[in-house]
Amino acid sequence: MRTVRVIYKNLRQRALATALTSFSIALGVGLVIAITCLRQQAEDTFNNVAASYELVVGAKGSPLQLVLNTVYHLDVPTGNIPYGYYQQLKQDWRVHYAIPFALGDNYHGFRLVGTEPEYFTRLELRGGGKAQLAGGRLFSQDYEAVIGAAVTDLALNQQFLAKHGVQDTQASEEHEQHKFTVVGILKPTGTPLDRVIFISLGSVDEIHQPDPNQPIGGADLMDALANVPEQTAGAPVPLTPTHPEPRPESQNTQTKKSESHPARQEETPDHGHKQISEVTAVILKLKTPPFMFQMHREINKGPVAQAAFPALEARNLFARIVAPINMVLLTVSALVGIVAGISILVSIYNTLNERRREIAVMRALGARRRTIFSWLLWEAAAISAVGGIAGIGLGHLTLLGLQKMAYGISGITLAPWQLIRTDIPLTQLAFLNKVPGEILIVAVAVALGALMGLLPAVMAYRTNVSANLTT
Amino acid sequence: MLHLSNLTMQYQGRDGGTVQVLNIPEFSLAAGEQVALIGESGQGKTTLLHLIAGILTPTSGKIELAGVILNNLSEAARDRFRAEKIGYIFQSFHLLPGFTAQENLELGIMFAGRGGGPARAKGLLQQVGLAERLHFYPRELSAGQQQRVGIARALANQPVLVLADEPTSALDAGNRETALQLMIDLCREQNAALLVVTHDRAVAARFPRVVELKDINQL
Repeated sequence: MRTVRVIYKNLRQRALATALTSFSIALGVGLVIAITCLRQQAEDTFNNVAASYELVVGAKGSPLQLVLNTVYHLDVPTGNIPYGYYQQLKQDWRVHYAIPFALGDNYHGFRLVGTEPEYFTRLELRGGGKAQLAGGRLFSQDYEAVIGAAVTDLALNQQFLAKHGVQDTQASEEHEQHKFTVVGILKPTGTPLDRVIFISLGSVDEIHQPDPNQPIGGADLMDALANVPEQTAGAPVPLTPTHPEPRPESQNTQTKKSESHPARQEETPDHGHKQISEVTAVILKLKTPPFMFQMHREINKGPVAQAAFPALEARNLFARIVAPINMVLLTVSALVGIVAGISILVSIYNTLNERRREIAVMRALGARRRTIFSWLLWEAAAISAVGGIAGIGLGHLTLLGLQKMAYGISGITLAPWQLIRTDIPLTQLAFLNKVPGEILIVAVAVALGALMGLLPAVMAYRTNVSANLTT
Repeated sequence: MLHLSNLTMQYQGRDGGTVQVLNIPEFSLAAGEQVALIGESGQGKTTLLHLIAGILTPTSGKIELAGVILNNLSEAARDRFRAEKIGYIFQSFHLLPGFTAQENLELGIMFAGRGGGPARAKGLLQQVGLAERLHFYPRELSAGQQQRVGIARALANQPVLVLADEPTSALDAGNRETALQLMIDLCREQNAALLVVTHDRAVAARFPRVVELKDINQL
C-alpha cells in the first residue's frame, strides 16, 4: 500500500470535515485569484485603451476626470471648450489629427458621443486595429447613430429618443423632437467604446439649442448661463495667454500648406449644419512625441483648457485609487485564506482525539513516529491542495460570472480563463515570474496548510501508544 | 527465542511516588512455542506485552527477542523491529476503521517494509475464511469476523512472535472457539511463537503451556 493511498483513505474517512475544510481553502484561494485576475485584466485594458490616446484636451478641472470621461466613457465631463479652440488645435502644425468629442445625452445609460467620422478612421485601438463596422455604415448626417457592440437595446434602422444627461435617471428629459436612427453597428472591441452611441457633432449641438419659441427661465436659464461660450462660436482662442512660440520658417510653410489643403478645408467647421459652439473634449495625436509634452505644457498654461496624458492618468488611477482598494481586498482574501488554514488545524486537531487509538494501533503494528508525523502533514497539505485547485476553478468561474456584468458596466471584456501574470519585482525571485500566479497561490496555500498541520502532527508524534491501546 | 531477565517496571504514581507493576526475574519462550499467561485484571499482563513489543521500555532488566536486546535499541529501531518480528492481537480487535479488511493487513506488511502485500493479505484472509470479505470495512464485519481479520493482520508481517492480549474476551462462545483455533493453527503453520495473556482459564487450557503471572511476577 502506498502512502498516497493511506492519506487518501484517512481523508476519506472524515469526508465531510475534509470537504468543508477544503471548501474554505477554495474560497480563500478563489477570492485571491478572482481579485488578482480582475485587477490585472482591468489594468491591462485601461493601459491598452489609454495607449490609443496620446493627449486629450478638455475644460479645466481634474485631468483624471477628463481622461475617464473622454477615454473610458465614465464619470461626468469637466465642462466644455469652445469649438474655435478645437479648430485652432486641429490647424496647429504639430498636430497629426484632432478629433472632437461632445457629450450631453444618453439612451438607457449608453452615452451619446458626438464626433467626426475620423474617430473611426484614424483612432487606433489596442493591437493597432481600428473600430470596424459589423453592419450598416458610418453616420453621414445629423440624427444618424452608430452604436457600439454592447448597446444591445438597439438594432439597425431602429429609431430612438435620447435623454438629457450622461446618466439615465428618471428626472432626465427626453429630446422628443429629435429622433435618432441607428445606421451602423460596430464590431466588439472589448473596450469602453462598445458602450457608446456615436452621433455627428452637429447632432449634439443642435439638440441642445434652446427652442426659440420657449422663454428661458428657471433651470433652463441656469443651464444656458452655465454654457455661455467664452468666445464667439467658431472664433479662434489662443492656446496660452502669451504669444505662440515662434516657429521655424519651414514649419510655417508646412502650416500654410496644411491650412490651404483642400481636404483639410473640407474637414473644418460646419459639415453643412449650423455653427457648432462647443465641444467637450478633443483627442489629439501629435506628429512626434516631443510635441506631446510641448502642447501639454502650452495648453495647461492657457486659460481655456487643460491637456492630460491618458496613459499617465490611467497609471495614477491604478496607483492611487485601485491599488489601495486592491490591497485591501487582497488582505481580506489573505485573511480568509489564513482562517481557512486555521480551520485545517482545528479540523485535524478535533479528529486527533478519536484518532489517537488508530495512531496507537498503527504504532503497535510498527509504524514509526516520523511516519505518523509526516502523514498528518501530508493530510493537511492535501486538504489545502484540493482546496487550492478547487479555488483556481472557483476564482476563474467567478470571473466568468462577472464577465457579462463587467462588459455591461464598462465595456471591458474579461478573459475568465486567462492565467495570472506573476510579477515579482525582486530580482532574486525573478525566475518565479515564468510560473502562472495560480501555481504560486496554490503553493502558498499548501505550505500554509502544512504549517497548520504541524501542531496536530507533533501531537500525533507524541501519542502515548501504551495508554491509548488500553483505554 | 524470547528471554526476559530481571525485568522491572515502575510507574510514577499520582501522589508522586512510584508504583511497581512488574518484577520478573526470569521468563523464556522457545521458537514456535505457544504459551498462555494467566492473571487477574490489573496484574500487569498488558504492560508485560507492551514491554515485550517494545512499546514501553522497562525500568530495568533485559528483554531479548530473536537474539536482539530490545532495550538497547532506539525507539525508531524498536518500531522497525516490532514491524518485522512481532504480531499483535488486541482484545477489542482495533481494526483501522477507514481501511478494508485487506488494507488492514497490507498496512502491517507496509510497516514491515515487505513487498507482495496484496497477495499475502488475500492469502491470509482466505485462510481465516474471509475470502469474500476482502473489501469490507470493519463496520461491515461481525465481531467474530473482525477478530479473524485481527489474527490475520498479526501474522501478515511473518512475525517470529505473536502477542495476543485477551484475544477472545470480546467474542461469544462460538466465535471464541473459532478465533482461538485459527490463532493456534496459523501460528503453528507459520512457526511463530504465541504468547496469549488471558484471565479466562478455559482459554488458557487450550495451550500446551500455561503460566500464572503471579508465579513469575515477584512483587
